[in-house]
Amino acid sequence: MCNLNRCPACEYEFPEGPRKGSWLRRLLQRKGTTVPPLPEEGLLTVKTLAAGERAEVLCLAGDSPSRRNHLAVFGLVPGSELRLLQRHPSFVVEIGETVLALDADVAGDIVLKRPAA
Amino acid sequence: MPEPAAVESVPLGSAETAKVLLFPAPGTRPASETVLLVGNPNVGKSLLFKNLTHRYVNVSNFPGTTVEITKARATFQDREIEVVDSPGVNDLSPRSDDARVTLKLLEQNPGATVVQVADAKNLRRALLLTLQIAELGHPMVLVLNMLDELAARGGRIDREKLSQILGVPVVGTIALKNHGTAALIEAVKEARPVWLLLPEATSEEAYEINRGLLTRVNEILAETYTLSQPRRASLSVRLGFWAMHPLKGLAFLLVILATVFWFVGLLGAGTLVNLMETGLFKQRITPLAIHATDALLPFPHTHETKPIAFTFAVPITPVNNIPLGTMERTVIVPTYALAPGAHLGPGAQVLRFVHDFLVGQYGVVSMALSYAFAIVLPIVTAFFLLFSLLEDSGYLPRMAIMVNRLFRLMGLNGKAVLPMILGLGCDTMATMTTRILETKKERVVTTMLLALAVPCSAQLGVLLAMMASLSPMAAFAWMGMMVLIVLLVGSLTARAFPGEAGDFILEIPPMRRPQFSNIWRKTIGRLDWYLREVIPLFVVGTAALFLLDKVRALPAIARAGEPLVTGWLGLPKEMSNAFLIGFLRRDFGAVYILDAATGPHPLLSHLQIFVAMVTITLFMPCIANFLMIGKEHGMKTAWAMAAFIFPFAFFVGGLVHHLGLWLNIF
Repeated sequence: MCNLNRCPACEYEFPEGPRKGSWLRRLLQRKGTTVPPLPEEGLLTVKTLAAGERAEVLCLAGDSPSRRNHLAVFGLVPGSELRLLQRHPSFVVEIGETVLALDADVAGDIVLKRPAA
Repeated sequence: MPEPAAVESVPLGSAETAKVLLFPAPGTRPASETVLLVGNPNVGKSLLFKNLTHRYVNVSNFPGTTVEITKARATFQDREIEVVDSPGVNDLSPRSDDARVTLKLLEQNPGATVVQVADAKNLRRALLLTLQIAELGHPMVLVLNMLDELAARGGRIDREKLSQILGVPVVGTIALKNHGTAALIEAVKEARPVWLLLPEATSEEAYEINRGLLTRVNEILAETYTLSQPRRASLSVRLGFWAMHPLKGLAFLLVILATVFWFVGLLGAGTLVNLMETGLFKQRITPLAIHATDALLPFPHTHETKPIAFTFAVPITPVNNIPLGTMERTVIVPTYALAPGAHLGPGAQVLRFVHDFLVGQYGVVSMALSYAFAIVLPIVTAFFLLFSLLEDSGYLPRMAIMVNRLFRLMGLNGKAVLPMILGLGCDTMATMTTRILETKKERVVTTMLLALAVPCSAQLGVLLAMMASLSPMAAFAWMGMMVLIVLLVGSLTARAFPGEAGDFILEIPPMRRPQFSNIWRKTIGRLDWYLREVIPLFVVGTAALFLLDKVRALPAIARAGEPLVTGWLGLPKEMSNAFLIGFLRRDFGAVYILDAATGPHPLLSHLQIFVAMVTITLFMPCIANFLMIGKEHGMKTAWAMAAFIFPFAFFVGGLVHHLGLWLNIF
């Protein structure tokens, strides 16, 4: 099994994170997902963006195709630009003329990169 | 469905291929007699529908599903056309009920003209939908609505160019002011299928298809759409942000809740109900009905007469108001005594039966209709008015943001606030509104919480009156208990129920000044639904009560419940009767309880009033709600919920009673 984490939506490969947990934890793990979780540091997502900043959507992580489509129909697809309006009480992003409220789970799965200055 | 005359694959420069759909030229197809309105949510479709047909919504159910479509006939320049309004959709993938219904509507009407209504500012999302609809081959017209908002935003759309690219007429409208309707009717004649290069899909997955379509959409936008000014912070924009702000939004929410409380709880449930119930029914309609019934169905008896007074007052707080006038009349009432020494033959017995059925204690006129029209209707109307105002202003999604975190504790998400708020008006309608929630789990949990702890406006009327005789501390204690119960029961039920809550992804429309015509239209639509779906259930409940009373089952059931009521709840045994009746005819049970609590000879101590309040709130509101749960989730679920709710209500009531005694409160 390869060690690389790969985004199922755009096949972007994440650098390998450190192996976490002992064999016992992995044995007792609840369920195996087909998608490896995102590494926790160093990744810019809507969750880690500051309010008022703009960024370009790189890919939509997570193993729910219906959620990806739910976002896509609002124009939130890789390549589109969004602006984070607020973080509390919910994340609110602006894509074009559409304003969307998201909760933390969804926000953490939208991977971004800073727009070319 | 018209088959494309040819489908060719055309190579583009970058090793992609594109599909070209070639449809027969217009003019070889008969003029269509059906116009389907489609479009994203919040684009003004229903308003345009009204402009075209001059009809208010005529809600009907799509066969086999529970999504609403509305149809009406209209005359377009001497042609009879049927206009069909579909639910707002963002795409046609079968993920949601709305999309499935719209897709089915399109497939079942292959010759219909599709008028797609778009928000001119949000052209990207509209064009995504256009390209999806394009594959089905209907002749289309694209309507760019809300042009005024686009202009205010500093945007411009080259309609000619867009029309050229898509191959369909493009019409600009401002539905709110009824501009452009005539142009639209003209354009319908010129409707043609979209003629466009579409990217070949790389997979069947909706996400991939839409991504591909979006690249094409972006190309079209680049050629036709310009946005020049940055967004000006107008008042409505700023208000929109405040309503979502962690602190200002909370203040906003509390103000709104207080307004709902005043408008529905005090003005509606108090003043208006009093006017309808006493001023209209008790003083005029019921006596008239009794006279008429006695004239048509005579048998020896005399009705009592009583003076009935009602005071019209403007409410300020639950206990203070400004009285404006009192009117008193002496009228006959439903209670009667048989003439002394009279013996009724079988014919007379039948007459008496019918008489009682109509104007007796549980009569159709004296109880069922008075309940429906005099008590519930004013409250529900007040509520729907306010709710439609909030809906039209665009506030409701922001409310969902404010409460999302709280609702996550219960395994729901912020969207569930909509049915919960609606439940303060009518739990039965709120149960139907749970359809907007994505997953079955959310729908069932929300339905359960509605039936358990959200008091509908009629219940609130009773509760407010009872609270008035207790201290404000008691009112807060009651509210606190309800919130706690909701959180506890909600989170436990959510954990036990298999599945996940849906994602919280909610579009936030701009805040707009609510339009009175819109509010009126939405209120009428909801009232119409209410009159047709809920009122008949109340009549059924009254008939059930009537029969139970006739076979003397009512006293028997009440007696069976007495030990529970007196021993466990510590209430007088008459309350057992009141609870039972309260479920079938809430106002009658309410009057009973209210009289015991606050009438001229109060039977209840303060602790007992509090116990009664808690128990009433936790009870399933009424039989209409029970039947609606059955309709939405199946009777098994309805019975299961009832089997939990009633014992739970008694359990908590008794707990409060014993705790109150032990701690010697009140």
